[in-house]
Amino acid sequence: MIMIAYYVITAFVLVLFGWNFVREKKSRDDLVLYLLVMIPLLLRLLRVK
Amino acid sequence: MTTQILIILAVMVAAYVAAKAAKLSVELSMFASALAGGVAGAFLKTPPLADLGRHLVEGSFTYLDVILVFFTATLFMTIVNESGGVVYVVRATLRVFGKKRVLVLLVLMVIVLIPGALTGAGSVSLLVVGAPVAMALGRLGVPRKKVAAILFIVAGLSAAAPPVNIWAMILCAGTAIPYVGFEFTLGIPVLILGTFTVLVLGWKKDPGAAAGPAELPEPPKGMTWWRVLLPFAVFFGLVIAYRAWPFATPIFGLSLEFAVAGAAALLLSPKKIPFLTLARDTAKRLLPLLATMVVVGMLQQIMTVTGVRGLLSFAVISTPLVLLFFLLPVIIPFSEGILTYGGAAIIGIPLIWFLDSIGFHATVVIAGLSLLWPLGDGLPPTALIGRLSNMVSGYDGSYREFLKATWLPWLVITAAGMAMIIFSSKLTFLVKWSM
Repeated sequence: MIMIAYYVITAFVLVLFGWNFVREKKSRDDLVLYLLVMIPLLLRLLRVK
Repeated sequence: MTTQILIILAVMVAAYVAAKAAKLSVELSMFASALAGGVAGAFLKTPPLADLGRHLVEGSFTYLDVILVFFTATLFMTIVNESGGVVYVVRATLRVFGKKRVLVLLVLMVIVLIPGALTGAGSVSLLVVGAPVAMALGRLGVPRKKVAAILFIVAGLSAAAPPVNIWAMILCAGTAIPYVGFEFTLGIPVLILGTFTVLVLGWKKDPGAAAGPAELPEPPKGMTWWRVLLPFAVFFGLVIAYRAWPFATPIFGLSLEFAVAGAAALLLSPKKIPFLTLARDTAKRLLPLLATMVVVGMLQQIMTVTGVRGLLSFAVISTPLVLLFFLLPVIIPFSEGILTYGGAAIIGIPLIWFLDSIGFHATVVIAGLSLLWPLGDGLPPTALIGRLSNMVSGYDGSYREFLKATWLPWLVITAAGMAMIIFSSKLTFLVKWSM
């Protein structure tokens, strides 16, 4: 149950960063940072190490 | 072999300097440094070029748990702020203790300490409670330069305060020491040093600095003490529950505890909060900090696989102990100013291994170092907390003058941190009290 909750939190954070990434129009630096932050979140959800 | 590693280290430093010269952010400069170090290492097959991507990705996982704690904690505090809880508490403090200057200063210090202590980020303290606390200090007649200095030092201490201390978490994760025993070991020095700071910098009144009472915004109608306190009670209740009843309560972990407390704050808010917009804004605001965590993990992995970290560890353990103690008050804050949390991973981890191996108490040493790192948040090139303190307090004078105003608390904090490191084996009772 707790593990599932953590996957839900991870997915929520990933969606927020993905959303911000898509809507980011001004800063190229921020786009790269969004991608960097999304790497571990996405791979954790996909259970890829 | 040493020459080859030194060349890789030089490439990493050159890449960082070049990226900064190209006006890239600290996070991207560190990423450039990790990438350049990996490519330089690939020439010597440490790591082979085909494995470089895997190492970068593996490194990005290092602080995933810290990232989740960071996000959920900040979202929780942002909900409390958005619901009007922070303004309500600051106004109530001024109303109840208005005539008792010392009490107001102490309560305002605690208000700044709480968000940083819960999230591990002094910047969150400043972003959430910085502006109302700066206004309250202005009403007490504290000059703006000193308001900025108080906010900088106390926000830095809040980041070091338990339960979430990112430097300690990084050091514990990197040295395989459990992140336990820090409550009193960090809590007591932070409270003493915070009290010293607000009293030294906030004691004198400058009549010209008083701000009008209308500056503090009104809290929303329906806001009450129980609406403010209940979400915190939920959080601390969950934290305490598994310690009080270890066989009956599951371990939720800090991220889930903050998420539950955030849900409570959302339900108890007297006004409707646009949750998704707030969460998106929080993600945007946290981007540099979370990216730092990811990049520091990558940098650490690349430094390990190329041998640079081993070389630095060797440099640390071969430095004479007395010289090391003289260098730490300078090296530690400057490592924070240049690498932010990366300094803890690169310098702190070998330092803990070394000091632990010669009989110093690792937990107390980590706590002592944690007091020194926040000072670096006021130093260039990043100066994250320093710049934010200036911003929220409305101080627009010279940055050097602002730093000068912090000299006494800075020296006392440095002395306290160094004393904790040097006399760590005599301070183990703090760890025992925390267990």
